[in-house]
Amino acid sequence: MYDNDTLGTELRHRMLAVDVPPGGADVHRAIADGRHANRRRAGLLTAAAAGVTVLAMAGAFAVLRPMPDRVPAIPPPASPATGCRPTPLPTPSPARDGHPTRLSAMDPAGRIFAGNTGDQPVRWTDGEPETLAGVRGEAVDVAADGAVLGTDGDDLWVWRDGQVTHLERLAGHRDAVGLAINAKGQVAGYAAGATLSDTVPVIWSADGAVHRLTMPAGAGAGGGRPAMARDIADDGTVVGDVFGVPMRWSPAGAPGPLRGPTRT
Amino acid sequence: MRADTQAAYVDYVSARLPALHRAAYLLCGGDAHRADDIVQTTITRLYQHWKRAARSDNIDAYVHRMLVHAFVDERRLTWSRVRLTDWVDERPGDTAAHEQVDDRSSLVAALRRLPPRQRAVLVMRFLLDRPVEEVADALRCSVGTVESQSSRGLDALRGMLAKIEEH
Repeated sequence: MYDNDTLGTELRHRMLAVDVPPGGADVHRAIADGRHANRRRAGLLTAAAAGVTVLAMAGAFAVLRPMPDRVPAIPPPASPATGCRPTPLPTPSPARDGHPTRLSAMDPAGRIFAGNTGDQPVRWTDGEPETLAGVRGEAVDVAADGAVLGTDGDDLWVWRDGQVTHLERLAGHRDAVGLAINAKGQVAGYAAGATLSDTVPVIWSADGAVHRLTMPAGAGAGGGRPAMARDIADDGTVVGDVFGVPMRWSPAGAPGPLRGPTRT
Repeated sequence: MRADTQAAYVDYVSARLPALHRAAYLLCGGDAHRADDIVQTTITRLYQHWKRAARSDNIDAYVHRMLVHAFVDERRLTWSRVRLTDWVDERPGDTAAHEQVDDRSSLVAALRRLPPRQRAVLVMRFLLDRPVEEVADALRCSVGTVESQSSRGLDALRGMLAKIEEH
């Protein structure tokens, strides 16, 4: 038996000895992106300062709009939101001292939330917290019917009315990630093969069985870029991307590319 | 940013990149792409806040905290995984050799099996050598949680760490 100090020192040595592949982070890209963000922030501050009267009269969105040099502008809401007040959410009892509570997902109707207290997944329905018995780890998404998708290390699980379904692994793939769940209990995500960037888009049916999504004809090889399903609607429509191209799969599973945003 | 200030930033980042990358790689349980993303996010935010960071008593502590926040945010926000255009900087040949070895007994594989926040505690405490109070602050939890997570994490790795000594 070794005490924690000895183990900690040993762990430090082992961590320093791990063979790390060359990193791809780039200081010049950081400078360019950092400048861009700072400029944008400065622009917003100026606009906000100049627009105090406008803010008071017409709402913030009109002032905050002129920034779409990277993403298309989101249309402003018909009228400024008024009367929005934050409501504290109760944490589950018994309180788990010192464990921060985090929210990570909300159902399409905005009634059900999912999150964690420490590594205990929690679901809120109309503000009422409930710890999810039988699962640990992190809640990832919650469906309109209250089913929660989560992950615990290598395990992917779906919690529905107290029943836990563990999602099947894709044969020949060593890792799987679930990103979204719909009201039918279908889960969208990806499985990773020999290398971590060699991923294939998959969905899981409600019984936990895994299915590969059809790749578009002529997609070719990824060249190190991943393919994955990222979200799934209640009718089974899936969106994701294949080798950098945004993709939509029909509920029947037919893939088709999505047009990218046009620059304004 | 003035040229000399920027030079100080470049010097700092260039010197620390390998260490930051190692920490990120272990935080991400061996996912080199995600590690690159959180290092890139960290050094970009560092550029934005360089004046404040450079004034702090301990820049490393400041940066390690940003790194762990980038990791936690990355995990929390599914939306942040939607990067349709960013994933193009492949470096052919460098990942395959490392990643094809799926050695279930390696330290990286063992770390990958731990809950992400427990992994963050171990990396911050032991690799980055940050005091318990700083780890608690960075992970927005109590000192007691850091201590219990750290000892649970070490317990999980005990088998493989102790094995080294037997050889």
